[in-house]
Amino acid sequence: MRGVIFWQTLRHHWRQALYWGGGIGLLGLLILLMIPNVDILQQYARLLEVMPPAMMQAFGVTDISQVTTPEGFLAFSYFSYMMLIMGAYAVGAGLNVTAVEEDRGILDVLLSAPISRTQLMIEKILAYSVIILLIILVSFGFLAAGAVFSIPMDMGKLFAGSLNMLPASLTVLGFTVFVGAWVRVRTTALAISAGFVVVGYFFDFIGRAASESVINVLTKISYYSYYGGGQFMSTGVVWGNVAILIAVGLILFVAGVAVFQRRDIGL
Amino acid sequence: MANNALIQMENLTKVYGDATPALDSLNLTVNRGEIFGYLGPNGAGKTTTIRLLLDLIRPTQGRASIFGLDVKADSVEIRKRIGFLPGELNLWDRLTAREIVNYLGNLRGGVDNAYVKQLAERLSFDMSKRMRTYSTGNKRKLGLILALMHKPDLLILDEPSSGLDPLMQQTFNQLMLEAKANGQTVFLSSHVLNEVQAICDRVGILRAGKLQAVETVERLTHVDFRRVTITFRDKVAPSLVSGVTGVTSVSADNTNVLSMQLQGDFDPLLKAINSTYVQDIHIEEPTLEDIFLTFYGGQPANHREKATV
Repeated sequence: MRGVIFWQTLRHHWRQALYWGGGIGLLGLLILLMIPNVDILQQYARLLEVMPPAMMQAFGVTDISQVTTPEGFLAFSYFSYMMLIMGAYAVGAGLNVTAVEEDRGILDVLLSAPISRTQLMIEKILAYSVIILLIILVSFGFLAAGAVFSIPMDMGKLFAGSLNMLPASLTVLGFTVFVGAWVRVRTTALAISAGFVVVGYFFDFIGRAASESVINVLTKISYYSYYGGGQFMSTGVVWGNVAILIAVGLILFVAGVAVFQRRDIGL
Repeated sequence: MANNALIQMENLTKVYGDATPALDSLNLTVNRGEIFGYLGPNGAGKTTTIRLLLDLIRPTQGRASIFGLDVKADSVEIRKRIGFLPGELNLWDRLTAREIVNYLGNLRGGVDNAYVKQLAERLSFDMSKRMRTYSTGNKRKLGLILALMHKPDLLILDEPSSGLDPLMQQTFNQLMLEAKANGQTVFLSSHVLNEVQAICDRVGILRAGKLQAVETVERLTHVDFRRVTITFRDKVAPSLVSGVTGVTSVSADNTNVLSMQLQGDFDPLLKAINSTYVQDIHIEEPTLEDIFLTFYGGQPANHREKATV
């Protein structure tokens, strides 16, 4: 019956949105509470000026004046890293689509019910996409509270910056779903997917640090570069990057479903 | 397809990697309304057959149909009418049995809660506990409830009574006989002959991935022999019992121990050893392999599977 797996997944995992969103948002709130006024940020920017430019580029700061605004500081100290945590959640969620239940033998029972493998995957992917969105919204709630009680900020930018984590999270979710459907063994899928998240971050980091060299090409193959959280407050939404991340995520979802549809279960 | 055939397997073959086929050119028909026992030692290919029927794995060769529908192309349609109990039931540890029943029941468009309650009562099963707290036997009961709750046309049960105590085994047998009376068909795998003897109409014997025979239970279980080991106080010669009516395959493992196969009554053997001092007599029921080989000719294998009659 349609929708049962979707609602069951949401019903049993919606609390994760509170835990993960709360944890991430609390971190953002603490950062905002640490900057009572813009003077502090200017002092901080002067400290950063002594750092090598390549290092600052690696952190997504091309102009030190970016850090002197509350939004820019939040992008540098919060959005540039939070995608790693969102990536970690997306990996866990992606494994839950098939790999975890297959590894535990639960899929044998679930797939003896009148549902197709495709339906199972689509409903779970949709449910976890909704949970990822909820995590982002909960975390935004904390940031908004910080902006209200600590330092005035552009709420629109704050909201857009939070939502900007969604496309990259869906890419990581799609990658993990594909790997989970392909390799069957949960621990192997976990290792590959975690590697994708971390290597993506480092490719972006190293590529940016060596922006003048050939190594910069690494940023082209890193989902983290297309996320661009560190520069978001100055660049705004880069719709091309959003489209690429969502398209890659969708391709990976479809590939995962296709692989899972064709192979033996539970061996 | 014959009119009465509910499950039909044609040349069904499954090979994992480059290894020996787990299932080799299986041709088998299970009729509507019968209880069919699928017997074989561990690793014979019983679970592989069941997984193929449920479309959890795909055949290397051949095809299978249930209700006249192809198990791969029409798997969703088929599974609406099937109740399945896996050999090892793994479910969500943090959910209670009731939550699991509701979830899997909702996937089937809902189930009759009164019937679920009735099943739980008959199996003496408490539905309020979390899955992780259940013993093996209780997990088995939950598995039976999940398989039966929607009153399916076909029950596919993999080693259904393993883990059930003797009392529950009786309840299980009653449930199966009631299912048959209701027109349901049961396909159950087992490596325990007396399990299938009690309820099955026909039995298929699988060995090393090949179907060796399909027989009625009556015919199969009329193989009347036992393995007998006698320990004497003093040294005896095998000739003491060889030649006795019903005694074959006499071997002397020790100077005062004789092993043999006995078919028929005990009396001739007891009379033959009457003049000796017997310390111990050990009687072993034949294994599936013994029965099979005796039934179809040949000698029982030395290697004994863990099966009982």
